Amino acid sequence: MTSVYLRLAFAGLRRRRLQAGLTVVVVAAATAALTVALGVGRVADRPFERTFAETNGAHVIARTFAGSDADLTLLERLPGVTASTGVVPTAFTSFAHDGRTFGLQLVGVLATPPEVSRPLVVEGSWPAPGQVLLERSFARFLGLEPGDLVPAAGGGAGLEVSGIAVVPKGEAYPSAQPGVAFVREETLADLPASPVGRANLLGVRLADPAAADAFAAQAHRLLGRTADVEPWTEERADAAETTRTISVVLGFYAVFLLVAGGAVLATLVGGRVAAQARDVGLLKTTGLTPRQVGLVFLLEQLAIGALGCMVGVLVGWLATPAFTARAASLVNASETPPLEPAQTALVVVAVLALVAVFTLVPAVVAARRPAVETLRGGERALGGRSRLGRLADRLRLPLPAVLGARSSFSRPGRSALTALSLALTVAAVVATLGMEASLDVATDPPPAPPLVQGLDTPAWDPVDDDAGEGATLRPIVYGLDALLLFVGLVNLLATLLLAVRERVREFGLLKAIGLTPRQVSGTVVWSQAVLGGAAALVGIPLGLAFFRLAIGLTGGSDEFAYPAAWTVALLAPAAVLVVVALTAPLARRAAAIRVTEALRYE
Amino acid sequence: MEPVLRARGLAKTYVSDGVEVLALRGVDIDVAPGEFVAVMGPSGCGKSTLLHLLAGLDRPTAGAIELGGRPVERLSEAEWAVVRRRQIGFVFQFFNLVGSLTVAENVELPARLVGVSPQDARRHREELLERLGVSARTDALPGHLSGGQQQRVALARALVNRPAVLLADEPTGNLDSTSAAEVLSLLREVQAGGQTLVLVTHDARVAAAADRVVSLRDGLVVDEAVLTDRDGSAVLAGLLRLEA
Repeated sequence: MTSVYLRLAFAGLRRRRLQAGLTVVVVAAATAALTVALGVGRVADRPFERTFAETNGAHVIARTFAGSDADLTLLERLPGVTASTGVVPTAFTSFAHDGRTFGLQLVGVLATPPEVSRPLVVEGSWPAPGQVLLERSFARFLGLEPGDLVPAAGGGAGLEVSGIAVVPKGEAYPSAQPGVAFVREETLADLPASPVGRANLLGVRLADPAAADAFAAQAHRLLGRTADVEPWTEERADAAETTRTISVVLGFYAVFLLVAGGAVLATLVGGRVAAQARDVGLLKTTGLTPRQVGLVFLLEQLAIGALGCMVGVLVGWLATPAFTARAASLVNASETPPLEPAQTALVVVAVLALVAVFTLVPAVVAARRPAVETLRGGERALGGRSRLGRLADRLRLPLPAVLGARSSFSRPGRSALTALSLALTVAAVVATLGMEASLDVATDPPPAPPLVQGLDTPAWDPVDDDAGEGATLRPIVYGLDALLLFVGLVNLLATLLLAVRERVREFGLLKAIGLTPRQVSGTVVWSQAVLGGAAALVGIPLGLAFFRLAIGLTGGSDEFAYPAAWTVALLAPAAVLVVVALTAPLARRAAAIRVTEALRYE
Repeated sequence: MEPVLRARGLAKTYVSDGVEVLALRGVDIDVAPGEFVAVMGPSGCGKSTLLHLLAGLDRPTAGAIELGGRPVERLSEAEWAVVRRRQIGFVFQFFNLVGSLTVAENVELPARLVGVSPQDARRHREELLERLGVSARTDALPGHLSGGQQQRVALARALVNRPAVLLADEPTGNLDSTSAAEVLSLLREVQAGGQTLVLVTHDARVAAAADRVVSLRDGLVVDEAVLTDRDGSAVLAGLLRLEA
C-alpha cells in the first residue's frame, strides 16, 4: 500500500515539475532565512552576559593612577571575594594610523591568560613580548589584523599585532574610547615615560554578583578618592543600552524572516495543493479515502520540502558566519560558534512541519468536498458578478482590464493568498525603509577623552561615533535586507509564475473566442496589478505596524525613525509597477501557447 | 459558387514522446456558403484536428487554408484571433466556457470584442439565450450548469457575432437525447439563416441533418456523401439512415 502512495506522490511531482522546482527554491530560501535568523538571534541574545561568563569577568574593577598611594590589594581581603586579577599595570598611549591619532589603553598580561578577566582570543594568538593583542571592535574599526604593526608612541619600535580578543565591554569602539589592547608586562614597562600615562587596576570576582554595587561603595571608601571603582553592573547597563537597539534590529529581522519564510511556504505549498483540487477528486474517484488523499499529497510535498531543506541548510550554513561575525563584533559578544546540528534539525523540523500543515489543511478541505464538485474544476467560485468587475465596466476600462479585474475576484481564496504574499513583500520593504531611516539617526556625538585625575593623558582625535555603530550596523542591516528582499522576490516570482500558469487554459479559451495574445496577457497583467495594488494597501500599514512594534520593544527609543512619508507613498505605485513588470513577460509567453495545447493544461 | 472555406493538402504531425503521429495526411475540403457539412470517422481519425486547423486554433504542418478566398494559414496568432471573433464561431465538445465569467458575460464577450455596445451585446445575448432556453441562468457561473445547458451557452457564445462559419466539435457528444435534439434544431435554424456549418460528429442523426458527410480515416478523407441537393431534396439521406 505504501508503494502505491509513493508512486502516486512521485507521479504528481513528475507531472508538475515547475511547481515542484519553485517549491524547492522557496523552501530553501525559507530554511536558509530561518537558519540565518537563528544564528543572528543567538548572537543578540544577552551578549554581554555570555561574554562576561566566558571571560570569567571581574565583578568589581578598581583603578589607581600614577601617584596614588591607595593599595588595590586591600580589596582581595574583603569578604565575598572569590578570585582576583592581582594588580595589573596599564598605560594610556596613542599612536598614528591612517593620518589620525588614536588613543589606546594597554593592559599588561603575563605569558599565560589570567584566570579572571581573561581576554578571549578569537583570532591569532596570545601576545609574546613586543606584540600586542587588540580588542576586537577596535581592531575591526582600524582594520588591523594579526601580523600588522601598531606604531609606538614616541617613535620606538612598533608593536606587532599577535591576535584579536573579545572582552566584556559595555560599549564597542568607538562608542567607548580609547581602544583597548593587551601587551606583556615587560613590554609595557619598556614603553617610554612620555607621552604615556600609567595606571594600575585590580578586578575581583564575588561570591554574590548581585552584591557588586554595595561592594564597590565599600571599596571606594577603603581606597579613597584617588581610586576609581566600577562594579560590573555599570558595564552591563551600558551594554544593555547599546545592545538593545542592535538586538532589536537583529531580533526584528529574525522574526520578519521567520514570518516571511512561513508565509512563502503557506502561499506556495497551500496554494499549490488548493489548486490541485481536481486531482483530489480524481484520487477519490479511484477509491482513496480523504485521509489517504491527504497522505499522497503529504508525501509529495514532504519529498520536495526535504530537498529544499537540504539546499536551504547548506546555504544557511554558508551565509550565517558572515552575519554572525559582524553582529558579534557589533554587540561585543564573543564569536558565536557555528550553528549546532540540533538547531539545524530544529529548523528543518519546523519547516517540514509548516509544509505538512499547509499541505494537509487544503488537501483535507478539498477531500471533504464531493468528488464531482472538485472534478468539475478548480475552486469553489463566487456566484454573481463582482462589484469590481461592474465598476471596471462602468469606468469603460478596456476589455482586458474588465476581464482581469473579474478574474482576480473569481477565485477569492487563491487571490487572497496571492495578495497576502505580495503584501508581505511590501511590508518587508517598508520595514527595511524604516531601518534605513533609523541608521541615519543612530548617531551620538563622539565621546570626549576622559579626564583622568593626576594623569597627563596623551591627546587623541576623538573618532566620530557615526562612523562606528552606523558603519558596522549598516552592512548587517543591508545583508539582512538583501536576505529579506530575496525571500520576498522569490515569493513574488513564484506567486506570479503560478498565477500565470494556472490561467493557461483560460488563455486558450479566450483566444478561441477571439482575444488576441496581447489582450489575453493584458487580462492577467491587469488582474495581478489589481492584486498588487491591494497588496500595497495591506502591506504598507502592515510593515509600519511591524516596525512600530520593533520600536515599542526598545521602549519607544528615539534611535528609530519612520521612513519618509513620500518613500512610503511611492511604494504603492512602485509595487504595482514591479508586479506588472514581472508579470508581463510571463503572461506574454503563456499567451503565445497554441489554443489546442493550452486547453490541455490543468 | 466560390467556397467560403477551402483547404488543400492539409497535414498535421504531432510529436508525442519522440514518436511522430500523423493526425492529418493531406486533406482537401471545400465548403460552400450556407452549406452544412458533417465530418465523421472513428476516434483518432483526425476529425478534431481538422476542425482546430480550420479555426486557427492549431497550426498545420503543411497545406493551405482559405477563408472567404483569403489565404489564412500563415496568419499570426493575433490575426487569427481577429478572424475568429468576426468570421468563425467555434463550439468545443467540452463546452470550454470561461469559468470565472457568468453565462451572460461568456456570451457577450465576443460581441464586446468586435466593438458592439454593451446595450446591443446584452440584447443579442438575451435573444440567443431565450431561443436556446437558458435565459433563466444568465447570472450563473458555467460550473453550476448541466452539460446540456453549458453546451447551449457555448453555442450562443459562438453565434453571438453571426459568424459566416460555425465550426462545432461534437456539439451533441456529451448531451442527453432531448438536449441533443434541441441543439440540432438550433443548428438547422442557423443554417436556414444562411450561416455555414461544419461539425464533427459521431452521431448519425446529427449527420443526417447535414448536406454532405465527409468521412475521415487515418488522417485522410476516404468518402464524401452528398445527402441533400442544394435545393433541399433528399438524395442519399435514406441510405445513411439505413447504415446507421
